[in-house]
Amino acid sequence: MDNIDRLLDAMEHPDNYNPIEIEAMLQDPVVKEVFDLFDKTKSSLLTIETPDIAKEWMKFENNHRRPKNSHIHWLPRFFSRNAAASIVVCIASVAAVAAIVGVGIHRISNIPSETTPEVKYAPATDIATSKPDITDSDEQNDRKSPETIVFDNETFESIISRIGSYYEYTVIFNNEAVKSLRLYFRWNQALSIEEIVESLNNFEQINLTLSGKTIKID
Amino acid sequence: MGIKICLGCKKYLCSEVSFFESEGYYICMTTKDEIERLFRSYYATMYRLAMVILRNDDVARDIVHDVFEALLISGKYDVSASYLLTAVRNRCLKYIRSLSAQDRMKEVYSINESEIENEEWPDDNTISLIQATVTKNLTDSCRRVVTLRFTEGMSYQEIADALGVSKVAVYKHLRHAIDVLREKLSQNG
Repeated sequence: MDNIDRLLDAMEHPDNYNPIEIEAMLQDPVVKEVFDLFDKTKSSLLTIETPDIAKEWMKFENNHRRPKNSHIHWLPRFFSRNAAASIVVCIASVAAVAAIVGVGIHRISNIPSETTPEVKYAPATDIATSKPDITDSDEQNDRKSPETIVFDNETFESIISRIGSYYEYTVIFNNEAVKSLRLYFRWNQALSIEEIVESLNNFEQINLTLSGKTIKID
Repeated sequence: MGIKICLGCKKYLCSEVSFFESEGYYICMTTKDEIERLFRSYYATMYRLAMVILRNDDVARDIVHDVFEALLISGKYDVSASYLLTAVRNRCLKYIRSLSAQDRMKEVYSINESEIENEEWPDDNTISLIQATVTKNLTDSCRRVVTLRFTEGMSYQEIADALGVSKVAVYKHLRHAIDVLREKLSQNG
């Protein structure tokens, strides 16, 4: 029985050989070459079916579809510290997101604010009841000292209505679909309407333009 | 709802428009379309490469899915076909390395790493040369032994029984086939 016979036998009964014996067998360049040739012959004689790409994509897509009712709250401390700086804090990279993820769940209201204007947490119920038209007294209150309003999972319609009336802009919807989008948005009233519009335009699917005293939504 | 940023395009996301979310990362619908385009364009080529190396349908499909999964998480989608194919090669090698020596022997993985890494294998010329040699240069019984062993995965005893010959004859046919293949391949460099 020569080395090639041993290789043929090892391919058939691999468990009769220990890994060291197999390695030693393949040290022989001729055996290695023959084994390699078997490998390639096996591949060459294979009939490869054309895969059903549409089916494979569906499988991939289903593995990654957004899980329903998942509410992951990442409201890092970082945001409250910079309340005066910006409404929507620009996060430059994914690394930054990863870094702040560990901070966990923080409600803005629970964090003592060190800066003015004060951060105020606006719960969903608050908005839902005082929908889109704001009373005069509310408006005057808002005027007195600019605040940062946090919309958490609010519809875009209620957010923009409130912003519009604060800056005394008329809101025109050319796109009904975006009304029901729910967003997390931080609105610093000290900022100009142009800056707010710019921030909101960072959202996918939201396209706002200012003209005269109107906010157009396409 | 915390703030959400798409891994791909870095835009903020509304709750309704994210395709994928997991702890700390999200993919928007536009980016999803981009991944889908890559998937539909390159899936077949990537699958074929994994199949030629591994000849295992389940593992090949898993590997291609894993490459797209990694792409999704990397947030970098302007990739070329060769990037995707290299990723497939690397995962095939990793899979082969994870097997025991006995399993590699059983599956006939010679793990010729440098050839796979240097893109010398799989090579269409070698494949067609082997196919032509098996079809044209082997005797009928020799070709039958090769086919039963390598495409049907039958044992030597089963082949001997199926062809009504001795096990020794099966060995002889295989050795003859090797000699012919080695000669043909060496002629071609």
